[in-house]
Amino acid sequence: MKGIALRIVVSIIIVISTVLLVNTLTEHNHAEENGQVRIIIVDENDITVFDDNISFEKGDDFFDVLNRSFDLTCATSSYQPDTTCSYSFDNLAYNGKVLLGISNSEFNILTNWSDSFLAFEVYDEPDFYLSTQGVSNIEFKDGDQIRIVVKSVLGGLS
Amino acid sequence: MSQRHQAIKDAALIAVLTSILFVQQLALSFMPNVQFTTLLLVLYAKVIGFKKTSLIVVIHVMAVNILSPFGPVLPIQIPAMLIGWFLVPFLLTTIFRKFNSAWSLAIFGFFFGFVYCWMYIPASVFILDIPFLTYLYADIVFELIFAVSNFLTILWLYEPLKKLLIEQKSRYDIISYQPKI
Repeated sequence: MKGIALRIVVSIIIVISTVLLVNTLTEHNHAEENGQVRIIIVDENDITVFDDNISFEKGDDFFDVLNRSFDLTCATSSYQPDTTCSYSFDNLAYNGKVLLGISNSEFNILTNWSDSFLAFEVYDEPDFYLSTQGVSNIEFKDGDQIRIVVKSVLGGLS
Repeated sequence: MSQRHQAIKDAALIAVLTSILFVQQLALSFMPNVQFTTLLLVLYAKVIGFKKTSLIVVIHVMAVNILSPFGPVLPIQIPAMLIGWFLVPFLLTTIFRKFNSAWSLAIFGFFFGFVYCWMYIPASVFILDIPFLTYLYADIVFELIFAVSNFLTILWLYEPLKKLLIEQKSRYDIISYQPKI
């Protein structure tokens, strides 16, 4: 009986500590004010198909910013393309959308997750660095530059 | 029992245990890094021994990469997956062979969670060219969840499952290996 009680206590402590730690490590970034962010989009042939500033509003996350200016294709729970972007991953480790494609009237980019994907790179003087967050949680503010690049899974990230 | 009959029974046992491993991993794949794989491999290593568990690991890695509806892992990461899972029977029959209680195995499972995830670092950093710190930072939450999942599942389920598997072994005389209880 004593052993069971100890297990219960240890399990509860570990679960609570993990939830708190994961919440601390998981970032939920939203714009704190209105502004503009420079978006650069590079296709699979290394051609820059979009390079312009787009506006965002207070409270937007980075997915909202893109969704307002582009036609997006997201992943479903089984990583199939979904142009409605209705599915959001919602679990302890990751909350948000997974972006597979982005397009407007001038370009159309679609990746399939298993062979290719969209890498998000945030500019931090003097170069762009791979984001550690997914599209819904990328930190941004007025004047930031974010590059979206099509990458081949087997081709490496650099 | 003849050697031939024993071999047939062993093959059937390995197939059944591998199926259990595969199905639970698929069934729980909607929750990243929450699975019973470590628990089952710890259980197998302790009850049926190193050789059979290693064979189960090989078949499991092949099955996951061929049959998973989520597709295979990158080919260059398959060795990391294989070595990572293989570490469970290897470590539990060598360095940590005296770990027999649920508590000691749960602590083993906790640290193994991190070690398993780190097995993917060399291929990711040196071949896929992902920056090391970016990879580590992005992965730490998943490592933590895997470690805690291992700890809790082993702590609570190892002993009843071990009892169950040993009972089945005695009942059907399936396994020739005699575990230390």
